[in-house]
Amino acid sequence: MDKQIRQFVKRIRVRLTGQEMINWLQRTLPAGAAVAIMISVISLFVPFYYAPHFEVLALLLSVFSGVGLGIFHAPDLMKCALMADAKGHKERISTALAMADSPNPYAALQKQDAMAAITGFSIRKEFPIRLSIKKCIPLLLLAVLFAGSCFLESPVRQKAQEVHAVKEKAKETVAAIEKVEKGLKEESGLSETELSDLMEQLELSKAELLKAETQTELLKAQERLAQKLETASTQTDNKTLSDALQKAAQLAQSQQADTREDLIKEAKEALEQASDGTNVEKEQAYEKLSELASALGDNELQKAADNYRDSNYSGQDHAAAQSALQQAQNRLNDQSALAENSGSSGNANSSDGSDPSATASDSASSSNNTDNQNNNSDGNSQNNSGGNNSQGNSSEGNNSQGNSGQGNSGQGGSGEGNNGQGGSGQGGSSQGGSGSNGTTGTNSGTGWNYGSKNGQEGIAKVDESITVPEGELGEDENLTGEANGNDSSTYTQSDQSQTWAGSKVSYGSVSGEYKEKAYQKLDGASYPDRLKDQIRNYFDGLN
Amino acid sequence: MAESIEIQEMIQKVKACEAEIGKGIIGQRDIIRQVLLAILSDGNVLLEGVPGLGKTQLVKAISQVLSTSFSRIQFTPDLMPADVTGTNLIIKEEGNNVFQFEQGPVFANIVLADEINRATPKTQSALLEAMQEKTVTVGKNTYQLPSPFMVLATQNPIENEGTYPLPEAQLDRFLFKLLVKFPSKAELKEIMDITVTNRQVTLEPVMTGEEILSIRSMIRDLPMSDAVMDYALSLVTATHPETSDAPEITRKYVLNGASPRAAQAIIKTARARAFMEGRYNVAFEDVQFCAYPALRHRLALNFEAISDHITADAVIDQLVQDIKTV
Repeated sequence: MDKQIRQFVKRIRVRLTGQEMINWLQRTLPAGAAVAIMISVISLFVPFYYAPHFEVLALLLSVFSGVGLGIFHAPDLMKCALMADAKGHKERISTALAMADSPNPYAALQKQDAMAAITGFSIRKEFPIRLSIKKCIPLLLLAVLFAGSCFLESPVRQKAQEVHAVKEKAKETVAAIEKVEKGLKEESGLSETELSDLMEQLELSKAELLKAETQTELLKAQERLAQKLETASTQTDNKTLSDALQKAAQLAQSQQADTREDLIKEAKEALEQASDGTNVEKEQAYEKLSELASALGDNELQKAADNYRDSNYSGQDHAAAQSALQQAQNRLNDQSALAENSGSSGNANSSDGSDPSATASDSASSSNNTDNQNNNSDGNSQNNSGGNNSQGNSSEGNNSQGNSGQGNSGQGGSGEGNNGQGGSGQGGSSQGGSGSNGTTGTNSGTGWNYGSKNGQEGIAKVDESITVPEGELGEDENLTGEANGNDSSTYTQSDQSQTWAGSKVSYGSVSGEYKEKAYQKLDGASYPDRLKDQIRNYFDGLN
Repeated sequence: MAESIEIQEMIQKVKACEAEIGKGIIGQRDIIRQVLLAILSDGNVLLEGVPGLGKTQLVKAISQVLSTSFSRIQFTPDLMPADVTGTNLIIKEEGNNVFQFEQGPVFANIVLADEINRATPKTQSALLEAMQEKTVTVGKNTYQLPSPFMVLATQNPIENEGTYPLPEAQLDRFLFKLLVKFPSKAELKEIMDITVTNRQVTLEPVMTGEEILSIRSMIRDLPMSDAVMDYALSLVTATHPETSDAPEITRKYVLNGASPRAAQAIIKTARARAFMEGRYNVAFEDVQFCAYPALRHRLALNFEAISDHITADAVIDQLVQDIKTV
């Protein structure tokens, strides 16, 4: 009988505990929902990627605390027995519970009495689960508000997601840098100064990567990093270190490629949505295209995007934008393939540089072997300024300015040959040609770019001289160095190349000075960031 | 098993007693029950009511049904203690004069002390020893009173001239104070039927004194859960205004709270009530029922209560409402 009575009371306890939990949940859930709504609303105006996580956390906390408080406040067995007795059983059940195993002469009689009371006691009927309508209504309203706030789209939320995605990617690259740094510390083969310079540059790259909030910024940071690593790998005599740096550069480049792929993918998706979408979606598509164009330095794509917007998102311009996007992607793919194929075959390409009919792709690869090119170029290279490898760049082969022009490199794919910014901007540098080469690849530089050595003040080029081209000193608009005091120039011919000796100025000091002045000028200047990056890249590539 | 049968038999006898007494006393069901509770709890009762309500008749009926001896003492101002307890008388025995103790009217199972507030405090105190100790001391000798022994004292609430109100210490020795109310018209008619006609009501004895003692022992073992005990004690402590958690009404109207005897009275009589109802455990309602007669003469109310016409029962009402059972 004791066991039966106890079990009966336990069943009541379970029911009352459930009721208590419901009572507490009716208090904690609204509080949790209110907090979640607040977070959701804040996330509409303040970028906060983890807002949904915190909202869920707030709700979960409210559920757990409601359940926990319900269990904590649940009545004990005796109280449950008393509550059962309060239904008209005159403390029979509670007394029987208290008299378990009691030797009292009344015990048997009293328990029989209690059992009679228990028989026919309907726990469900006597202790119905009650939901307070008054408390449920506000909860329902809060639930609706919460659901509504979750589905509200805002630019801030999208930005938060984008920034988060960018930060995650940046972290991967930072991890690679840290690996390189660790390797450098253990054994680098560099001098102390060189090592500290390199470490400093890597730290700057890390900071830049972590600061990036858009794909474009990330791309640029990755590109600069790849350039630095490439340059550092060529400057060390330690083969192991060089390989490690090269690998890291390749990783940075592949991450860069991934970032571009992501940008392209997002742009494609945005365009697809915009085809039958609302104005907001069309605007987003334009922004994605614009961002991609900026990242790739692709003016054609930018133009197509602008046309799409200016035509009020017409179907025709939509198709044109899609086509431009596809072409941009194709160009990228071609460059990647080319770079992979040319890879270390840079040398073989040296002759291409002199081939007037050299195609852009050829020139691209040839441009990778800047140093070699320079020396190997034949007479044609003379047409190119300073016999710079950029010669190879000129697909036309006769572009004396090494202006890269369109053929340029397919490198950056920008093909605009914008000026020899080595950029073909950023794209140029990371293109496959560079990647696979392990040498100067990153830069291709048109014009007189050797390929950038970001942060490296042209250590390897210090001994190089700026040669005076044919003509009088000062006539070549591309040269700004000063002639020596003689005002004369001479030239000599060598077997391998034609050079003009005479007015010689140390290349390293000149380019270093230019770069320093340029950076000083940029700091604090009010140029657009995009232009500042281009200028920095240009000067970085001078080495 | 045997104990269970005996318990059940005794419960039946008590119910039969109540029914039998009810034949002789019309109405006053509550009073009969409460007096029986007091008898079964080994306590003394103070009955307060106007004359002619059948208080003496009640006591007589009880003593008949319980097969116990009964004596009545009419308290007057000139009543001496020896008139209550008995005295030594000089008698001639074998030619010698010797003292022989002559028992007073207090030597009975049930003693009716009529209008106890009319006797002097000296005489009142003579009864007190009997009530408390169940003994009488005369000179150097102590005499045991018969068992069971119970004093039912009465007092008239309307006659205050020439009376000696019982002090609190003496009042505290009464288990219950019962207020005998005027019967209803129907009850009055029935009373007339019995008393002014030839109709006779004969009461049969149902129980003996030994059975009463046995029942008292059984009642002491009746289970009472901690929750019910706590409730009873909470009621008593709530009558003290000096406690930190005393209810509002206590702090406002009560001068002095009930003594521990009140707690004893409530617990003993609650058990007895549960027994009389045929239950084998004490319930909250038993405690609530017994709280009124056990506390009303033990609460000393202040002047504010008197001026606001607040009675002890009103205070107890509020306490029963304020203190939660579950």
